[in-house]
Amino acid sequence: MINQNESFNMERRRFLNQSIKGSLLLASAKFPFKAFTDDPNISKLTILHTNDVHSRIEPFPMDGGRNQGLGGAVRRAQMIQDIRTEEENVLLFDSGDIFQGTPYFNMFGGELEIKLMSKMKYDASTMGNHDFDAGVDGFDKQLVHANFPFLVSNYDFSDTILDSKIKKHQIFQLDDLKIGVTGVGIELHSLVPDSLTKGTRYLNPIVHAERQAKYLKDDEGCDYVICLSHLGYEYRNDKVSDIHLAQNTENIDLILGGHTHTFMSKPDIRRNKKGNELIISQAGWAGILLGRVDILFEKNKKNRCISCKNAFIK
Amino acid sequence: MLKSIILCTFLLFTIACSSSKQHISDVNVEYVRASEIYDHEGPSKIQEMIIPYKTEMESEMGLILGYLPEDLIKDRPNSNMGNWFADALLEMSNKYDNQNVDIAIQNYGGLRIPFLAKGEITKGNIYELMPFDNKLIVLDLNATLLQRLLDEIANSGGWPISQGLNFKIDNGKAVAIKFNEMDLDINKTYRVAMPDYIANGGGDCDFLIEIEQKHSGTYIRDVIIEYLSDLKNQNREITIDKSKRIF
Repeated sequence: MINQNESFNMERRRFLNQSIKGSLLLASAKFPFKAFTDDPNISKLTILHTNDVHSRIEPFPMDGGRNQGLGGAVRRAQMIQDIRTEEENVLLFDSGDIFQGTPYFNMFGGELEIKLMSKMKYDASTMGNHDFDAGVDGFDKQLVHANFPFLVSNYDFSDTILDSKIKKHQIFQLDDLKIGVTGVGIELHSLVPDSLTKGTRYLNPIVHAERQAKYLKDDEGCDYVICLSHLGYEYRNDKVSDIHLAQNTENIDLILGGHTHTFMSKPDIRRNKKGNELIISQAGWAGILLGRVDILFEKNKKNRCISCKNAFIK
Repeated sequence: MLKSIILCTFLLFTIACSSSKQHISDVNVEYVRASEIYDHEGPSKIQEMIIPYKTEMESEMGLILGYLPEDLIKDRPNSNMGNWFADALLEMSNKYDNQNVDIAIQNYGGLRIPFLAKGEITKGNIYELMPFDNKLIVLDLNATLLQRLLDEIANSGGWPISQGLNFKIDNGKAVAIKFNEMDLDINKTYRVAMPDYIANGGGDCDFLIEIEQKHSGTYIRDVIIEYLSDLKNQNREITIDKSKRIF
């Protein structure tokens, strides 16, 4: 009797997993990429993103907890590799709080976390408040293991060991798409002790993210601008969030967020200062989710898009 | 011939590119759960990178410190995890400070895992529960400052507090405060143990910065590890008080 129940539960679990996978396939099937693949004017970009991985090198233990068996670097690397095999233009980003949460960080100071991200070929990351947990010098020590840049537009590191080691933006040329990326970090006061930030100055995130975004769009002619944000998605009080960032800027197309560990079932579409739509996305925490944003671009000489839909996202 | 056609196409392409604009034609966003359905067979380079770190980590962190009689679940304003943690801090700060500490407080955000399973509890579990390099300190607070701290706790939805302290959250303020069933005494000083993170102004507690700190000099996770080894040495079981402390 007991055995039957167990086997029922296993069947049920298998069924649930299948249906999760099934619904994902369905979601991508709805998206008419195949129809455009022959059109030379259409380019596809796939953006993958994580945030707040918090040193979760291994999946959560099978202890009956809500997250048991989820996440883990080996699996994430496989998922990313599978997508890279299928897709031509892939960018991979993290929105900060790479460090702190398992003894891997306490024992090795974040070395393994950064090495794994390099191995997975992350293209860029921003810094979260917990990435200061070993101090700016502790972070600096791990930078040698990073073969990708850290992007923060609104921290002034000029009086610290990180001076000129953190970039304000990075440009990626894929196919004929020029993608600009900047980053923005949260107010550090009251989150991180001064003894760890060691003279890092926090600057207005909206002003500085927009300054970089405008430069990327206007001066560099980027087709699309992404902001990696550790501001947090939304707060009950008036603390600056990704929603503020979205509504008060003009040149950001996509905000990949973090800090609030927000699990989204769909991205949040907001209107920016000019009334244009932009996307806010965040992928939970601990590597439980891999966020995936697929974008089709149509290139033409007229200032008009033939394949564009009026609805931004269904 | 073929080469020149390719070159031509390339040139045309480049010219076209310079005068054309990219329009966003369609966007799709999805969140893929990193579950075992994505696992592949066979060894991976990533696994190889992890193994030496994992081996070293586990030999250090696998140490079994005790046996947890029930699942600990983190919640606010009250939870068995919060009660257990704050009570352990109170017992230990009294060990360090000759039984003079009245209250222990732990900020909610400082507890970093939502769940700790019943059964063997390891050193690694405690590191995950309290990974920060926060030290346990003690502050002497008059009734006014204690009220202010409890208001801050109420305003943020409740933190773990030790046994003996009770209050009600009313509109983001702490009301009906009782310490050992008595109202707060305006002439009394209360000795409160907490993480230095809070005493240094973290968690919007800037008003505590100026107050003199008595340091135990011990990281909070080490305090909990010491607490568990004390229990083991004294042949005491882990006990979890489930009383409601914040209403």
